[in-house]
Amino acid sequence: MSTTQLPASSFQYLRRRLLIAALTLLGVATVVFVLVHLLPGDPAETLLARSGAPPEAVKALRIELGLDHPLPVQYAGWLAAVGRGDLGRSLFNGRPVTALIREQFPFTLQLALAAFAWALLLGLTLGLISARWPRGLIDRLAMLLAIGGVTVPVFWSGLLLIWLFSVRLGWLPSAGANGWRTLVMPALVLGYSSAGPIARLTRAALLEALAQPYVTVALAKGLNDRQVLFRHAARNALIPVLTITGLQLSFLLGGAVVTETLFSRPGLGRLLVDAILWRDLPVVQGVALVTAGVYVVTNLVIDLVISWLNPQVGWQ
Amino acid sequence: MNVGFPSSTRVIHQSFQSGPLRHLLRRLIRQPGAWLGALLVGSALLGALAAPWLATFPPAQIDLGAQLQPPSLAHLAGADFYGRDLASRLLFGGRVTLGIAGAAVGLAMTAGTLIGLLAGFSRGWAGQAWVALIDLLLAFPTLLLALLVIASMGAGLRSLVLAVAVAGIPNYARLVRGVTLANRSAPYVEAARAVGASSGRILWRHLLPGVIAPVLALATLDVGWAILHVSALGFLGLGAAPPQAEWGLMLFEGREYLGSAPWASAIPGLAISLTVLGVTLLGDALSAALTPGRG
Repeated sequence: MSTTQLPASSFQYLRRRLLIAALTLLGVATVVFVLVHLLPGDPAETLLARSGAPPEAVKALRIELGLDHPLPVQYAGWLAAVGRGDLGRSLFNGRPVTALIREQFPFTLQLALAAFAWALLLGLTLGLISARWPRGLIDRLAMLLAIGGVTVPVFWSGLLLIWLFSVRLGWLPSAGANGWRTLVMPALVLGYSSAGPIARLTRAALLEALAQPYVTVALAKGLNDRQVLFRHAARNALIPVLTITGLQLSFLLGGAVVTETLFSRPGLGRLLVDAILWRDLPVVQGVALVTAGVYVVTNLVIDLVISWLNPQVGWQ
Repeated sequence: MNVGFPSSTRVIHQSFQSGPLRHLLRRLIRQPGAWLGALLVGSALLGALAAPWLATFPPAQIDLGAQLQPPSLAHLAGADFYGRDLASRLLFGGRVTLGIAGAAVGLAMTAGTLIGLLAGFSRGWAGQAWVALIDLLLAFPTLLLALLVIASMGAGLRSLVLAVAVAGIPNYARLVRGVTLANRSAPYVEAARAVGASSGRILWRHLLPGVIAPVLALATLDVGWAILHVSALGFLGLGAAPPQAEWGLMLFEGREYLGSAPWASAIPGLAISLTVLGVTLLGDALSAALTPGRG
């Protein structure tokens, strides 16, 4: 194929992916609204019933929250506000939801990035080790460690670390979010849970690459095992590994909910869980929308990086 | 939390095109992981089913004299802050955790199969609309979907089943749609259409049987994922409610006494991990048996 084709088709691909992502974001907003409004109870009633307010007050609050309008009107109003970047106000402290999210997001981002770095390091190492010496004891042990990442729940592995490093040894604080000392355990635990899939896929992709004819050629040329593994196989195993790695990153951003609760860290996950417990509807909607939006955008970026590395992907 | 099981959807889809079930079973029992997995899952199931006979105490019986007792002959797994026997709570908790996970997988499987059949069978814009809906639900982190359902329905066992099921539906829908799309133009379906079978009959009699095996295989793998979600929601305080015994909730209650009674959280934690490990080993062995010749 001629070189002039490439920019045109990548541009088309980019445009199509951006359009799909935009539509997905709109759909995500709709799903969030629909799910939250399945609510059988009325938030105005739930809120004021606790304080034993008179019915007139409930009615006034309902009008203030726009709950007296039919659902399609509420939906259109909400969507228009979201388009303007307005996610409403918390029912509890009256603060803008966007401000709450802006305050909490850095904590989640910090945790997700630290966990991601650890997941990459551990996952790639385990995958490389077991592909280098396949089917032996080392392989078995490495894969057992990797399976542990997907089978041991974060809230238990985290509790074990707290027991060892906070309760027994007293080396690290068990809660809060100030400085690196409070980041170590949450990042280790969350990252470990993501390292499992990365390790398993790295191993599979490397073994598949090692079975290709060009590896036999390289070995026949006199290269040793290690040179073949790193120079030839690793390069070709990169794309599937990158795909799952990207999925894990977006997962970490959205999935820090349990880790943040366990380590009493601030963050988007905690904000969401607290909002659900208090039925703070605007906060639930806002955080869910932002979390799912980050997930969609991260996946878009990964797709684009992959199509840039391997133009064949984009041409389909 | 991580529920990122490697997706075996494609493997399952491919391998059910060939080979009768008997060969699959023969290959399955040759996997060492299958035996360990079956042992772990089997013990968890047995414990849950036989809880009323195996448990030495009622799960909610409070005994302030036994508060936070370490494991002993009277309390094999120790006692919690209220002096409730942890071994008995573990057995009864298994009923809740495994029962809810099983119910959620069953519901997700049924609804997902239905959506997938319709999505694979409809042509034109209706087919496109189904696909868009499935892709949309796949764009959400699964725990977030579950949390949204809980947010709208409130905590409780019924909404817990529904929450975990909703999070699981898109995977089945995607799998079933793929198989249905492939079978839709198969000669036997065309033949049925030619002799005048209605759409409903084609879906029910000709397309549904083709997806049952791959769907059941995916469901096996999914049970581990569902257990992790049920217990995570319990741990967050959005699942089962006290004084119910549920593994995630037991862990949440035990964490308060990590210093004085570490067994109170370690025992449910171990139960969740080993059960999910068992399901994962079984699922891995199943995938390996489905794709002969792979390491």
